[in-house]
Amino acid sequence: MAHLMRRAGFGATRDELEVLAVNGYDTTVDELLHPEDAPDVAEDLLHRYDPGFDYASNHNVAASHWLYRMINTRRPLEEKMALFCHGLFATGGSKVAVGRALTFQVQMFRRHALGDFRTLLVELSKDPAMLFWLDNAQSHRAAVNENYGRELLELFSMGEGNYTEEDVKSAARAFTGWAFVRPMISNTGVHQPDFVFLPDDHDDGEKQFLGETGRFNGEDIVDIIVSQPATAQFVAARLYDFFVADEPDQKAIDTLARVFVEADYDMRTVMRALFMSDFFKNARFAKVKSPVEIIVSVSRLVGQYVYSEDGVLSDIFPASGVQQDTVARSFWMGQELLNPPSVEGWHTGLEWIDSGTVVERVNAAASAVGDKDKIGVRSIIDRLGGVTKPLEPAQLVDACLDLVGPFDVSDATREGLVKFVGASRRAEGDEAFGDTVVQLLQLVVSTPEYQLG
Amino acid sequence: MTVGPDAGVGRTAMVTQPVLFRAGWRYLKTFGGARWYLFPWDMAIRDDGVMAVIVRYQTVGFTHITLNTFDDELIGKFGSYGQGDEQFTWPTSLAFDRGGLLYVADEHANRISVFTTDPDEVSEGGIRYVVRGGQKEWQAGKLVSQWGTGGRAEGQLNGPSGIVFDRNEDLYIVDHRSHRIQKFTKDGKFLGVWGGFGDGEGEFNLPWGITLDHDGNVYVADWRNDRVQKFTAEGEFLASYGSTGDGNGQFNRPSSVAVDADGDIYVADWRNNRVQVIGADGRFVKSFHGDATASDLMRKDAVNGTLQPAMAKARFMADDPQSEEIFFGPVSVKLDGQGRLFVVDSYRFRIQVYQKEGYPSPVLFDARLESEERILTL
Repeated sequence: MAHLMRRAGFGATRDELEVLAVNGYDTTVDELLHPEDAPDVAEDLLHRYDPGFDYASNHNVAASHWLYRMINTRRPLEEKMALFCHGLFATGGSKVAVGRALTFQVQMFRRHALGDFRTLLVELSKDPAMLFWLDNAQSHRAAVNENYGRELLELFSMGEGNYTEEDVKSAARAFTGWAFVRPMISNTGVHQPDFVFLPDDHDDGEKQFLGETGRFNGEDIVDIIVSQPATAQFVAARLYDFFVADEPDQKAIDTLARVFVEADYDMRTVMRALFMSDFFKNARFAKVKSPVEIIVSVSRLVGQYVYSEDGVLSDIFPASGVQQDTVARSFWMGQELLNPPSVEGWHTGLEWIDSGTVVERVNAAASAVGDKDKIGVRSIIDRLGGVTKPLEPAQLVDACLDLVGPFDVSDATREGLVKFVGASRRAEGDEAFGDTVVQLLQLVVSTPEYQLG
Repeated sequence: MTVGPDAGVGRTAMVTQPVLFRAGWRYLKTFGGARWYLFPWDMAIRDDGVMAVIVRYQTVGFTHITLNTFDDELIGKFGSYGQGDEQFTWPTSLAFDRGGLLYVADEHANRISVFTTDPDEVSEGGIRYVVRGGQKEWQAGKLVSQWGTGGRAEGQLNGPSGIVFDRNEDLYIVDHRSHRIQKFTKDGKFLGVWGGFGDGEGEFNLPWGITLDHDGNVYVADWRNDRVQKFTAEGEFLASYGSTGDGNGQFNRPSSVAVDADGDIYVADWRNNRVQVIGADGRFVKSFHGDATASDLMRKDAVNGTLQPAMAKARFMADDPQSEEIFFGPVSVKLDGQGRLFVVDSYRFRIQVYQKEGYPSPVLFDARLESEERILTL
């Protein structure tokens, strides 16, 4: 169950896992797949306490808003699917300077990522941030810009080698006239861009595309793309990589691709097949956590930046500190949310780790669990201290690993942790016990094993 | 008693109060712009017309109070983001007392800070600087006193949001996280409390703005219950206006309320991006959606050629230059003594002002008429 929640969401606390365990695995998968049945994040509170969020002047503000949503959501798969889409259809603040446009794109992902894949691609093609990012708004009947048509085929749906240059040109022609109403940017701030179809600027002529001929428009192009076997393989491989394991398994990918086609390209059905599969259940700790996963999961664990139902914050959002603690830390670890390095998105797996980023990963997690006043840390201390007989060092280590994960560590790592506890528990009293647990937690989140999700 | 849109129908008494003939609200002008206010959050108007405005952009630590004239002349600003004296963390609302001292509520610091904004009292010669982060800042206000202790007990503060003075210059404070209204003397002595969490009469869910009418009745923007509640000065429930929604007379997170001399109730219907007017009888009167024009400061920028090139280019390229006039996040409504309505249009960094035209008629009439007769009479 903990594995499911790490992959379909951003991890669950021990309290949450106990509730989920009673419901059972299958029911939990069902609930995850129907986020609309759970309450949404209380956006009204976010905007009441932080006026800048609704406006999102740049991608950093939009990113910190999104991170708060990930931390506070009760629809974890909705956010995880949006994060998947953001990596796949990578759009960035380096060019899309309007943070709100990126927020709208993420909202679109939330609405469509668990639905029909065709709809998702059509909505993506109409998204103002994307129309600007890949220049489709500058693609005209008389002067076609092929950028979007090319990336749609190469990076968003089929992959290289499955289409010709002619197909790229036809796709680009079909999307001419898909633009957005250029909004006002002035002393009154940024205004909302909206999609617009300009019939006079649309190339309505006959096109040859992937072996078919017709007067195709953008919707037709998406229909033809989605029905290609290469697309099912592509989507299945990307889902496997994001949700299952860093090392590809062609048999599992084939299974997902088959389900995708049989389900008429319904993403919810594919995701159900994925979470219910043995290859998923057996892939515990087969992925390196992304920086965003580290930031969000550790925030949820310790209860920082969490809103309770009655609107009480566990923390103040410090000015700039929001970005220091979440957005900037993620950036230092190599993942600048809403500003990927290129349209290819991020290189994942072991490429997340280098000598610089690993220090940031450890520091971020260790500093969050190092604060005894955080409600999640307090809860762990209380659970560990609430037993009638004081725990032996080895028991304390195992209990701690269980509460943070649960996860397994190598014998050498465990031995080191036990040794640390044995040496540090000289002083008596609650305060000293709390300090020991905090230091142990800091060591636990510094282990190589904690870097895996 | 719940007063709804139909509450006026079926009245049976002789009308003995003047009847209000509303001739509308004329759009007057717009203040501000991004260079002057970033996320204005509340305002108060001094007797001499000077406007104090909270600027709250904490995401980047840009938080202070500005003082402007009605002609959009910047008199000065003071305060900064932080938790020290003369600093604000989450400033929520402002009120001037009769002596011109400015009271500021901070819903994170759980305190009320009192400032003088009179140049002669701020310092000798009217100019006072503080050095912060190596920068010399001109401080147009000076801390006189501050009070408040965080907590949930009576007399403690747990997220003070709206504040308002009554005729005795006692201060009502919306203590929003405890879902209650507390009353204090202006120097912080506890006088009374009412409320509690819930959606029944006299209960609140994260209330925000507060105001008084000319009879001293208290109106509270009951934010998460999407309604405005009316009480006697002592906190006895009188009426409730509105429900959740975006229809006439419905609200989506109302954040502020003001009542004019005629009894018209103005509600900042924040998440619906509009301001609504509800009559004293509870009937819906009008919605404002925004009519902004360029502020004096923006106009000067354009005429003097000091508009940023990027902004000039964006204007040149824009397909939709007219979308500028409507409200985006109207968070606070305030009235002055001249029938002017000030709408703090937060995410557009400005304040829009309207002038009410209304004539209370002294003619008395018998309201005990069937509806058909009323139509015939008209």
